[in-house]
Amino acid sequence: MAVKTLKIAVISDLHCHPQKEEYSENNTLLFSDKLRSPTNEHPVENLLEIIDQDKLEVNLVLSPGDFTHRSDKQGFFSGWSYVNEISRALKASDLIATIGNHDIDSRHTFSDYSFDIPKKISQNFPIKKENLNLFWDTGFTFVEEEDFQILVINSTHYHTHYDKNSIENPAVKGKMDLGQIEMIEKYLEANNYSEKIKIALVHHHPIKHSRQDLGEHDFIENGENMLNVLGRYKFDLIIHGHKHDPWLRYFNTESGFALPILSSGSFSATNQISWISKFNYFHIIEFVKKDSTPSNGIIETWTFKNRIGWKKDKEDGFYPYTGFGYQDNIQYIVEKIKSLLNVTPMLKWNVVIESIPELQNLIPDKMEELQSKLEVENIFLNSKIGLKPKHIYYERD
Amino acid sequence: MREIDSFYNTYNARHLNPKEVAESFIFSNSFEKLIQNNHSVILGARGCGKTTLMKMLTLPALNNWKDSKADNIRFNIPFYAIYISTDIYWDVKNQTFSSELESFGNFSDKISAFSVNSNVFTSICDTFKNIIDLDLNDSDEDKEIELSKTLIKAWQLTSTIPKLEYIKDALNERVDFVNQLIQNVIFNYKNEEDIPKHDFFNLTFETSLEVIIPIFERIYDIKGKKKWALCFDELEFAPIWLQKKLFSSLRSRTQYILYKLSSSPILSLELEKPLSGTYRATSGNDVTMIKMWSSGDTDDFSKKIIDSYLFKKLQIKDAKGFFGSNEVYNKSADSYKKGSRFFKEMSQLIKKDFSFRDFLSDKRVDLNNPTPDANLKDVLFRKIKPIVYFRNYYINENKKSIDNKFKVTYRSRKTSELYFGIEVLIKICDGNPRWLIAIINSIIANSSNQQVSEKFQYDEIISASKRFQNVIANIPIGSTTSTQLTDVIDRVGKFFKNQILGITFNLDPKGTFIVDENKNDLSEEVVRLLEKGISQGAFILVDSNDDSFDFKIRGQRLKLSYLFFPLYDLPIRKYTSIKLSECLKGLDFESQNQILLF
Repeated sequence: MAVKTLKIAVISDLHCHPQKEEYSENNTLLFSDKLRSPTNEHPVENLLEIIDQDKLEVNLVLSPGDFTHRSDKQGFFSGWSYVNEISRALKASDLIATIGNHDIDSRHTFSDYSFDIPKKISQNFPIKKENLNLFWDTGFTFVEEEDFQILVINSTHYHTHYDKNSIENPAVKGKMDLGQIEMIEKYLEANNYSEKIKIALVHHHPIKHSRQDLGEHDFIENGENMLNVLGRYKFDLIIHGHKHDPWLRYFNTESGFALPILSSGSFSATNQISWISKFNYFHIIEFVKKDSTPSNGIIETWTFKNRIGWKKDKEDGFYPYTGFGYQDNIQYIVEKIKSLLNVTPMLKWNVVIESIPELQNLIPDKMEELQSKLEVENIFLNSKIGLKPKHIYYERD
Repeated sequence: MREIDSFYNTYNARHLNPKEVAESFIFSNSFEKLIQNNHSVILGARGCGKTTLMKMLTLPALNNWKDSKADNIRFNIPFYAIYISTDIYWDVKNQTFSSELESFGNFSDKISAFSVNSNVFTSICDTFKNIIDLDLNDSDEDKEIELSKTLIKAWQLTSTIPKLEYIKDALNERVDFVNQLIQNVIFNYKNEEDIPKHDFFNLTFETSLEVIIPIFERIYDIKGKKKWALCFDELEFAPIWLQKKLFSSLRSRTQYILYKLSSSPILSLELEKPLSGTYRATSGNDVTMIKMWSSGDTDDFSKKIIDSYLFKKLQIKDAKGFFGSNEVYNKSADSYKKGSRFFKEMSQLIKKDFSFRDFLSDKRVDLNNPTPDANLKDVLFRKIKPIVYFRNYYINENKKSIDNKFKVTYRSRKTSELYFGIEVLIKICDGNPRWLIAIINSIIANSSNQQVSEKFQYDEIISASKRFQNVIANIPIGSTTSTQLTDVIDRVGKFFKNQILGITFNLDPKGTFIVDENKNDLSEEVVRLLEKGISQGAFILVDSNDDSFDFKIRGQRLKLSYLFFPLYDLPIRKYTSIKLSECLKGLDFESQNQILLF
């Protein structure tokens, strides 16, 4: 049996810009001119400390766009440098990014051509030159390595101009052209490596993400078509940014394959804090793929709050410990847990994980479903599953 | 204000965990009394060390205490202490929700009882855990599960893993649930009857303890090993129903439960009745009363604090050598002899203070050779010594003018150079460790020598006096009061100053006061201010009866805290008393209008 593993970090939506005098005009905690002390007010400096302390390492850093805010050039340079700095600290062998709507000048404030600024950032933005291929021309590219295949999509490819008088204003939402999707499909047909770990990286959300009044119109046009293609080739994870609202869920594609989609939430933007009480997030995702079966994933998520720093001790918009890949009936897990507890009514949670490792591959909804099923059986945990409980107990009398 | 708070609060045991409290703990008579096998009540002002004593009863503190007495006390202490710190939010009616819950009958009483119970239950969990880990070293998980199941049942918790740490979590979660319920009630309900009923509102901590403790003792096989002490700290902040209940518990029937209560010196009048019934709990009978201001070893305790901090910071053992000795108060054998420092002070004062001259002549002391010649004189000299020093230091001249009346003029003195030395430091805080530690620490913070200058000492003492004055000026006294506590202190201080430094040399100057019994002589408003002052340590009860509680201060003798004395040029001595009303009226104040307020 061949096993492939991959560890990635996800950094999204930095919205970097120089600090503005008018408080309400600031949209990030990560100003391009921000001093690095105190560290618990600086998302990058604080993260570097944690990386050093916990000796965190990954193979890849993925970043689904919006490095800057409203195509601010200084913000762009700083944002890209910040991500590179983190990537080096994590000893990642590569940094792969895509473009967000704030990274292009679709309102033509600074240029006549939307892509003028991102194309001239250079420094391997958004992908190493040798992997860039036809990214700017076709709006997507594939990065192929021995263990993984990464599809990088530019969902702002059609943000060529801004037309506020038209319903079809191209700068409002992400778009994929059907021809583009066909090209992707053809590529995948020709390069169908079922044993590789397959990830798609895109800025906009390919399906509706309208919870908490977040708006209904900005998802990718033809996004579902694209997901159906990716479902056919059993992609292991779709990662997107844009919404600043972390969410991990499955999308059932036409082929019957449930595609895990991670909306990564923002690394340092601030507007969502007052709007939807979501904070800032940084994820490390570990993929384990056996032969051609879909990956099992384990996600660790840190949450940043200003003057508190990055923490992993409570649920502040996203559980610190989640995962994906287990798609069987939750009742099977309940039965396994019960039979363990029939021997010893109280167990340490890590002992349970050792026996039932698939517990780590549940998306938040499934964790909650499991926990309520356990409670019905009089099985209690000392905290939510996503907070990594210490103990589990079966009350039988 | 922030600076004052931090200076004062650095040494507040409330913010320290028991382990930290133990690191600087100094044994005292009060602690000796508190660890006895009976109910106790500690009364004392803010900062006098009540919380330190109470926290020291717990196992983590005792186990972390390094002292020659520690082993013996750890081994022989006759009870396990359950420490409970009063939360002002227990007083639901007055502090947390005043009018919002008014229309819901006794719902606010339920919330108040619930809050107290929750705190007590959490403290019980901590105590059990400490006993299991520190005293019994018992890691048998089955025992903890059995105990926890009992607690879960007794406290009506649901879906809780039977481990003590998760029971605490569950208690917290229930507090959170009730907080949400309160908000819900305020916004969505009209009548008490409509509020959802929860059985856990009917729990009481005393009955709960009577169920739980025997089970704990059985599971861990320690039946009868020790009693259990419920230690309620800072009860003056607790709602009155709880104070009544706890003070009534001092005649508790339950053999194995003791009560250790701490409060400010003057108890609420509402407690007078429960405490004065036929079965009154009296001191010496089954209750030990510990009045921190009259513990008898105040000076000794203060000296130990000074020694301890001096040694800890500078490894110096000789406090007298370091701070020096103050002539005004020391008792060297030859201090009254001819040529002594005091002899010179006497001679100087005789030359300029004719009232003193008259006084000595009256006592038949030779003005040219003012030395004691008999035992009687020795007593006299000892008595007048501080007054002589102070008058000589501050008075320029006191002579009769044309109308044959004395007229006194003073030297301009900016600082009170008379406040320094070990004798002053021992007394200046009246045994209040929080202030003393603050002063000692700031004196020695910048000293590395074997000695510290007198100037440095009185600078720090004066600075502490002013800070204390600020703290007192900032205590809330309620909006209906037009008089300030600091005004009362100022008037009293100035009156006493005049007693020492006025035109007449007094052998027995007034230096303490009696609170008038008669409301016409002294208003209730002033009495209430005095009560606040007492609880903050601005005034101290003198000659308080060790065997009874104090509910009223009318008729009581009080002194100003010595820490105020440098502000009024007063020698650190306890002089005879005068009625407070006399004090307040007896001086010609700048504004006549103000006098009317008293």
